Amino acid sequence: MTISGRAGAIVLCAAVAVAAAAPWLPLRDPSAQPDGLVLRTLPPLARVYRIERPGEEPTYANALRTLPGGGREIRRGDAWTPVSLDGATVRRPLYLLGTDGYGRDLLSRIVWGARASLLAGSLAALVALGLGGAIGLCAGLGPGPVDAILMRLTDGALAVPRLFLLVLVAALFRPSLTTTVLIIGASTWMTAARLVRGETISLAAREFVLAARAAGAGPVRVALRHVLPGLAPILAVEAAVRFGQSILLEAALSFLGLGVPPPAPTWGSLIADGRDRLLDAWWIATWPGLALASCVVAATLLADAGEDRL
Amino acid sequence: MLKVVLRRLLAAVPLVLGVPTLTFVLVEAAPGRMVDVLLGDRPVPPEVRRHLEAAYGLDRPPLTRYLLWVEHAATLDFGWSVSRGRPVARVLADALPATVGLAALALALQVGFAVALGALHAMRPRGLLDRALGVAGLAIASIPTFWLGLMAILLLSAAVPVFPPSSSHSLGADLWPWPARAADALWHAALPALVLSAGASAVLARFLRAGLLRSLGEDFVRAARARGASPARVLVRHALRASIGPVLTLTGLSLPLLVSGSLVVEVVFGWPGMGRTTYEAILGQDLPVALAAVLLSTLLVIAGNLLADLALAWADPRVRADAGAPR
Repeated sequence: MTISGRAGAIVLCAAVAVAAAAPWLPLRDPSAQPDGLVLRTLPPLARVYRIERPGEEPTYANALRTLPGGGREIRRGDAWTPVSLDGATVRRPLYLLGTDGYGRDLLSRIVWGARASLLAGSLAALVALGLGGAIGLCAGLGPGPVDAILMRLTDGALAVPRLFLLVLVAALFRPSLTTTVLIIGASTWMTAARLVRGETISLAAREFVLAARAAGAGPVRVALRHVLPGLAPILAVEAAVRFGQSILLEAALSFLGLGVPPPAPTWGSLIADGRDRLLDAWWIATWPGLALASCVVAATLLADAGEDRL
Repeated sequence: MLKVVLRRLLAAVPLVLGVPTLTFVLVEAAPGRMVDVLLGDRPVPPEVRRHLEAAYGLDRPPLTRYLLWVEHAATLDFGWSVSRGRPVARVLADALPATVGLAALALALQVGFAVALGALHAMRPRGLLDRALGVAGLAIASIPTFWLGLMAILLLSAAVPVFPPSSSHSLGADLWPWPARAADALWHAALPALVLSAGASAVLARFLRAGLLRSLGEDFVRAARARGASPARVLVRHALRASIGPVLTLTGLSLPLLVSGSLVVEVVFGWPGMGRTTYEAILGQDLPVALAAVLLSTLLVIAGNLLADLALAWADPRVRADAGAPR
């Protein structure tokens, strides 16, 4: 495999592993808003002061200073207030990617968002492959008229401006993970159908299929036992392509507020959050977009490498 | 030429009929009724509810309503917008020029970029520039359009204020003389059109590169070289002309993506086109507008595909010959 294909595989595996392991990683609660005043819109690499006393909720502060008389003051937001640090431990937690407008940690929101985004993307890719594969198999093995009708249907579906319909359907039916997956899958099966049909036609003319037919295998048995295994390589490549495109579509729907519903963060909804604060807090929209783009690039590289091997 | 047009128009008929039918079925199948949206949560006496249903024709069976809708849509009467209190046709007619203008600009940029990038690719195949452009193109094509739009605003209108971040015209521009107005509109359209065209340009450039490399090895190119044509002339006059076909076809195929993309781009850039209108209509459960917009966007794509076919027939004599011959 090429270096770029390998890099793509590594990035995707890492993303899936991190997303799957999110509950056990040392991350902050993605929806916790412990102190909006101090923690909101912290830039990347920011540190705050966290003053912990046994048996009490911790106090957060943006700054801590010692007055000339020896007293201590903390700054929360804009206001300085005197504080006593007797018996307290002062920690300086790091916010690697910064926080959003409610003081939620972006790193953990992106990791948890990866769960919804990657899950929706892979399930939608599966739906598209299943649907497209079935239609392509039927078209490739079926009699002429069936083939013609199915391929007309495919061409027609390809010419529809997908997002308009997707947005309409997403708005009509209550958005949920299931509807998102189904509507993305139901609107992206066409390339798989075309690829599978072409490959099926060339496989169906091969000797082993003819032999199976001659031995009395019915059409269903021929399709499932003899043709389907031969389709595995192109289905694998198409799966990588579809996965990348599906997480893009899911993100677009989430960005428009019509994807996997809150409170679960997804990359698309995280970018939408950042849109409102784009000019004063650039990092909120930037990081989830980078995560999304790198997964799509990785999927494309993997698919390219697979295609070269076919 | 006429045959190309006729065949494409015939092929579009099922699509023009199918898309609104599908949309209508989906609307019927969806939970929730339009009357409830109109009424909101207010407690309403049943006779008011019945009156409203009768006013919107919602008391009739779905099939009757569908046929009525088709009958009226054929005369460009798409009913009355629920949220805007104006005829749907008027709402969409106001938004259509902005979308068509934006898409046309994006299309022009897309083909221009693709040709320029493809030529740069083919200047020295497998060279450093070729590879760098390949990687950059892959990245650009993988970036979600809406995020690219946000980053473009961040970089080109916030950090370095070159372009306006949103809207389609400056305040008070309607009082300016038309050259100033046109320049203002272009200045506002530049960033959204750039974002809209970026992904497709990258994909097109990749295809054009492959086509150019193939044509550069052909006899007519060698003949041109032998006659003493300069490398630039060979590339542009001979190789490019022969490999522009797939680019035009792909441009036609990329139209659905362009129209889809315009929905998100218009929302991001506050562009007053069909995409934003549709989005707002859908969020406001304004179904008459949504139905008509889905149909209109499909028509736009079909018209665009037809134009791409015609451009292809114009650019490549082989296609014209094909259309005349029986297949």
